[in-house]
Amino acid sequence: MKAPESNRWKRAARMTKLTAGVLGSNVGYLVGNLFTPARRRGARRAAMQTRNAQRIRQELQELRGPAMKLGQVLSMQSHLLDEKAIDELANLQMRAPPMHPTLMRVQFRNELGCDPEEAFEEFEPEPFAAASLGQVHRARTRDGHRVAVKIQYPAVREIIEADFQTLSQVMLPASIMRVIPQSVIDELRRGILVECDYRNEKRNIERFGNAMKRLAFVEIPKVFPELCTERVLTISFLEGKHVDDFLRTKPSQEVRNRLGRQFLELFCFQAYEMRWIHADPHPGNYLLSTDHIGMVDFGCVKELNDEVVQCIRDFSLELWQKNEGVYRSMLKTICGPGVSPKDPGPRRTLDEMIRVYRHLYRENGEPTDFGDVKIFREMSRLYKLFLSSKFLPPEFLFYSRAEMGLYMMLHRLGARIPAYEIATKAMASFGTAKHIPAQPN
Amino acid sequence: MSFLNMRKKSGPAHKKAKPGRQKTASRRKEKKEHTKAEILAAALQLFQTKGVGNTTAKEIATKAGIAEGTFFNYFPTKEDLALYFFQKGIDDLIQWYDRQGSLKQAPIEEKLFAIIHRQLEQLKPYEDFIGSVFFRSLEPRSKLNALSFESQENRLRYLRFIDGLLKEAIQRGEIPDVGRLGAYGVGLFYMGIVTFWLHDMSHGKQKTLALLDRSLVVATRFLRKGGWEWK
Repeated sequence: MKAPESNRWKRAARMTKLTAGVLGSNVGYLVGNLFTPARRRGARRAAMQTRNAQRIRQELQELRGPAMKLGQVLSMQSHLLDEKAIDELANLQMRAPPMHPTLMRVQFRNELGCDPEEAFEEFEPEPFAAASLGQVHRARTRDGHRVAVKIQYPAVREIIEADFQTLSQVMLPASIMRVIPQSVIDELRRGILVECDYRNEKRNIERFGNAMKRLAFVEIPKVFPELCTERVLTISFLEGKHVDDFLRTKPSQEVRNRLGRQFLELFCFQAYEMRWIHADPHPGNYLLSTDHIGMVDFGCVKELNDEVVQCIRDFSLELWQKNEGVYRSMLKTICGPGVSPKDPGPRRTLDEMIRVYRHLYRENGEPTDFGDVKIFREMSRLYKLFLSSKFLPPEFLFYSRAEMGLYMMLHRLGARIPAYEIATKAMASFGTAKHIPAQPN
Repeated sequence: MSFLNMRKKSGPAHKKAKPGRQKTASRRKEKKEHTKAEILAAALQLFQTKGVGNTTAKEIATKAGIAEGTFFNYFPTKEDLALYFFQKGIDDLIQWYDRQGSLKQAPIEEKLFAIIHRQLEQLKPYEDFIGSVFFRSLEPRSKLNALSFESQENRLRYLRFIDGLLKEAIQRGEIPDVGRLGAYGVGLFYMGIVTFWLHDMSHGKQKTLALLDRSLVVATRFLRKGGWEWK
């Protein structure tokens, strides 16, 4: 029975269009389109996906903000789309249509009570970058610091709420639920809503800035609190290039390996030492130069609790394969108390995962070639497997998003690095310090 | 003569007064205008503090320092007061636009955004008042009705102003010639935006800003792509 299926899709799409809010956001409809072609088979599929992705990217860009954010999230769900489509979606953040100067000034004035030209010594009215929920301007403070000023698009919070309402009311029960569980969508919603308040991001930057002092190769911006509000964020300006621009400068394999190693160390430091993770691993959030990494956009960070960190450690060290007790506690962390250790499903998934991980982290000291498409595909497949687990706790969602972002970065860099050696070393040296507490606020 | 270009006819030539009397007449007119402005200022202040429903004509007159009867001479109904408020608003808007520098070089969607936003800023302190007159204006027999005789003058000044902006944009090749429909469209759009704005409970009326911005961008893109046949 083929016809009812397509009718159901059409109906869902139409309904979504009807329920789309007054602000004209119809992300549910767009998302529906994004998922539809994944069911098609054959050579046409890839072409259609790319064409769809382009169109969706354009439309999401028009909507600005939250829908774009969702586009990025979807771009992380790489199993649903081919590589070209992922590129299209991953680039969303960098290509949003800017607010014109009049609207930008209105937003700034609403927040700080004066025009940006009055608040800063110099201020460029043209934005130099688009962030997911706003746009970024170059400026110089009264005391001469070069800064980046992020100004939020209007009504971002309201649009997100409308978007998610559309998502969960119409689209999800139909078919997406099979791919992304509701708990994950809820967590995304919560996470994105937190991002709407730039004061949270300000706190995150301070937290990461303090912790990352130990990593010499990482640069975290400094905040200017008197120029920060709910919708305006002023931070010091970081030098460096986005990964694609950086690669255009033709860096040597040695440089790419060094950066790859640094990215992996940075990831381990966050997971095992800080236990806070930069959960929006979009490539636009890293500014590269030959010997260090600048991190920007701290809107979405996530604290990992002790059980999750323990579970990730146990998994990587393969303790669970020998020790039944370890396996049980891991299972409890991942799937909750309701799943029996005798259930063969989870063990099969974990077995398959560890097989891929062994390939990625080779114990014999041989470097892993992250540029290899096969490895990347395998990881994407695994990621899908992991995400489709209905019991996935949100911490794992963010962790695996970040981890997938790491591999995507290593893949783009074409890094050839001894991943096992780096990761085990990091695991041994990090994680000894006590949990880094939140900044009092 | 085009509807938009129609100007208010000046008095017949033979009625021109002698120079001496003219001076007195113009002084009288000035004084009248001054009193009207004072009454409006007093009324708006009272609306803000007490609300429209709780303000009486007597209170307005007292605050403006005139007799209650004089108040009714100037403004027989609250609707007349509202008409005068809108007239002042359009004066202010046109003067404000003349003072703008870089905005005059901006694309038409930004100009319209700035103008409509400015209008909303004018209305902001008097939301309560606007709300009450706005819905009355939907009544067919109201003087505030868009088709009423009394509201024509305000309406035409606004439409002419917008028409001027659109003509500039057409000359610069920004949009195709949309004829009179353009200014009428903007006028209707503005009324729609005000309705939305009155109902917008979001913090800082953020939703209105988003709607205003996005819809202007979409509309101008539609026009640029040719829209449908206009003529």
